[in-house]
Amino acid sequence: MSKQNSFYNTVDQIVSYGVEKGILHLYTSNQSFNGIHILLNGKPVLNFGSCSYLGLEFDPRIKEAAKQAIDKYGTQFSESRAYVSLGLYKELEYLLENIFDAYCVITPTTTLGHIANIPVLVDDADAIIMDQQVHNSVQTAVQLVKARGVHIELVRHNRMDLLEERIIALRGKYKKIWYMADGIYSMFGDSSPVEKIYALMNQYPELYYYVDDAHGMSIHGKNGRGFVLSNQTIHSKMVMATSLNKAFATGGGVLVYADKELARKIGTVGGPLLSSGPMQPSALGAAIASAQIHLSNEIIHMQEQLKDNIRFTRLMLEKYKLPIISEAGAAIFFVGVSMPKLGHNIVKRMLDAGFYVNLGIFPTVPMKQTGIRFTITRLHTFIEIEKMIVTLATVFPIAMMEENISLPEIYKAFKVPMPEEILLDKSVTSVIRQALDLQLYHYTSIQEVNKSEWNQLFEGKGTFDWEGLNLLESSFTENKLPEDNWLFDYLTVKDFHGNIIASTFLTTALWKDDMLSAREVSGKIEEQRKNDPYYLTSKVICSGSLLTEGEHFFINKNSPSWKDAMQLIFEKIYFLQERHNANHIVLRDFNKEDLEFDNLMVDNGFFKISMPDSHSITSLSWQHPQDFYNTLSVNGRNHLRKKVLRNSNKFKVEVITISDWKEEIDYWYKLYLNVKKKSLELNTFALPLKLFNQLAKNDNWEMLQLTLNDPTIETSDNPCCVIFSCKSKDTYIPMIIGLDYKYNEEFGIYRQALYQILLRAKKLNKHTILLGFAATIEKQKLGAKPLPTFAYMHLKDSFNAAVLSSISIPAKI
Amino acid sequence: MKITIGEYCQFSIQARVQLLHSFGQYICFTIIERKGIILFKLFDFYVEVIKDLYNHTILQANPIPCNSMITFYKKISFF
Repeated sequence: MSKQNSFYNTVDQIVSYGVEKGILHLYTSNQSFNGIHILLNGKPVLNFGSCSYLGLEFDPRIKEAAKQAIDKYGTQFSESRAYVSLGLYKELEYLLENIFDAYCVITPTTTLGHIANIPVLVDDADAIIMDQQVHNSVQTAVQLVKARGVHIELVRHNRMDLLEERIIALRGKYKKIWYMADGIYSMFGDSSPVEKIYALMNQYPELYYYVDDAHGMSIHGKNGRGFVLSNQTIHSKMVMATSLNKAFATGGGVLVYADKELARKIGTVGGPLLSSGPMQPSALGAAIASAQIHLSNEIIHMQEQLKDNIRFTRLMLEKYKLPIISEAGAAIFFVGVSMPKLGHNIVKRMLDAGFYVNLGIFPTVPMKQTGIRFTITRLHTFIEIEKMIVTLATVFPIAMMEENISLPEIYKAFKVPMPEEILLDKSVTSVIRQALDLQLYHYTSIQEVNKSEWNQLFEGKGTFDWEGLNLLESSFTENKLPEDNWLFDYLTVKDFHGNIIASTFLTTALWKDDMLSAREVSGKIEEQRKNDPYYLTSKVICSGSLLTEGEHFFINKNSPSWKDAMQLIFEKIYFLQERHNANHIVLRDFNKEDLEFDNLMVDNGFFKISMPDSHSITSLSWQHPQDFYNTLSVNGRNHLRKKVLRNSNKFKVEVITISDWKEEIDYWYKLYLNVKKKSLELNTFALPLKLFNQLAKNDNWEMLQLTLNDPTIETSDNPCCVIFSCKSKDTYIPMIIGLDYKYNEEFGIYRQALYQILLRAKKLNKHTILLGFAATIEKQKLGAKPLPTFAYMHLKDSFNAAVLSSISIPAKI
Repeated sequence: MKITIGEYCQFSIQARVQLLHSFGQYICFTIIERKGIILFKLFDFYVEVIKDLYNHTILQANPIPCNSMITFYKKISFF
């Protein structure tokens, strides 16, 4: 499964969960409704989710104009605009140009407008800097130029200082630098710092501004020309796209230009304007009527009414002490709830009480910044707004109690200081846990953990039995480089009988953000790391470690309290994330599909990602190598015979159980670095030499060393391969390989090493070999079974992840 | 829920009237010089609404600063 598919599967899982709970993908009943009163599943509810902020969709003049257009021109005029357009277009364009005081091109939707605009506006010699939160439709259109290799960057949301830094860095290299942003952002209702952007455009000739002002249209500015143009005229280096589908209330989009010629060009060559269908006559008729209202004084009163409603809503939210995250002044409100489970609970309760509000959830917001998003329109009355907020304030604490989330946790998730007047409620979680009598034990060293208890859970599952972790701790502490110093945390939850319900260990370390990215992406990033070694790296707290594979989580699902035990663990992990200042949490190496577990993870702020397949050989019941040969498929036998056995006698194979010879270990380390340099598929920092010194003298580990001894070729006497393997209970785990690539192709050193691992494991009477990630084909040829593996992830800050996805790789031809 | 005088004053005339209709309590009504004056109690303060009786427009809806005005209105009111 590709990573992109994995992303869509995660979104599917989250949305489907909401659908299942009856709060997403809802339909109104087929009965007429008016204004904000709608029928959902036959039940009347007050709609607090509409983006038609001025309520113009029920204005009789606009409705009548739509009907008249249908009477005159039918339900559609189905011809490409390259050939013939309805005359209504001209009339609407004229009115819109009066509204914006600029040149306009009409598009069927704003998204199609971006697709028409961006590929024409942006030249291959230009660069794009997107605001981290710019609307998805802009990001989608940017994908079209990404394939052309256009330089694309992300900048942190609304950070003009960082934008200026990037302009300075890029200005000599690119012709134009396009900064792409929203006027008003659709989730938190905050706005672009337009005046500062204008100042930067005046200062830097290369800077151009592309802005989507869909949520600002109609409700701000003279004639409702939007937020961006509310205080200034259009800048000569600016292109704006806006929507007629929100407060304008008719459907369609508008592209706005300072330059007449540019407007003509986009209207002539913009892809969807050439080949996609036009706006329907009804929408055009309605848009003309709406534009006429916008050009009258009536729009001022409507804007004023909406502003009063916004002011009142804000006041009510403050009175009822709800955690407001959205900025003051916008018609979009966002009340933070942190975890998705609380969001689901509250939206459902609101719906049951007769109020429809939106769930603001991943991927539009980070997982742990879920919230109740609602909108206010001019049509809401104060009474209706007050009732909704009173209901929200009533259900909020009930839902918090049910989901074990406290107000301090919510404020913390959004990095918003908690208002002083809100008293810190005693966390209900501790009360519940006391009742259940679950106890969480936390240790920071394996030395503090009971050895037999730990090994009972984890011995034979990987290299993380008690001894293995002891070795890791001694190798990854007190090192010089930050990436070589890990923090260790051990968590175990027991019930009142002392039975272990859940247990795991965590390491906190510096990871490369592109660890699972395509090798081309990692290649590009590694170039930048030559100057900045810690570019796109993040501190990650993860179950297991970068040097262990396997089931790092023990969960006793036979216990009725397993979910509560997991809850305790999640809470502790979030606490540790803050304490260790880690950006991501990765709970990894799961391989059993379990919807109940998936939902528990989503509820607690995690999303699922695919990891590379893990490989294992479990069929070691054969007695002699010939028997093993017979277990293979025809292809496998051919491969073994021609590519492995034919060269076997050219290798001297040695098992070294202990070594303290510095030169030898240094040489093995060099072999390892050869492999590391080539392994961009799983891009990690190189392991420290100290680890190799520890492994070489550890009783549980051994080194399998291969040396070419073919008298017909000139080879050095130095070994060409070394494998560091852990001997754990019934399992043999080769963890690290080092290779001299000089003769790898000719003598098949890597596949020879795999075969020798197999023979060695058999000799040691092991039942299973864990072969880890990567090299699927080679491993499968020797009978290894790939095991689809996945992880659950939580990102505190998704900026680096977004930067990664924006890195351009020219499309393959 | 309570709105203070300061918060009330942030709203436009139309919104103030809506607030009075939604959450206020009608106190009395009188006519002075062709203007209708309606007194409301909103939470813990009083508001006088002055209406142009010819044009049917609201001219103002301001809080009353002193109690003597309220007593005066009550004395001369029709209801």
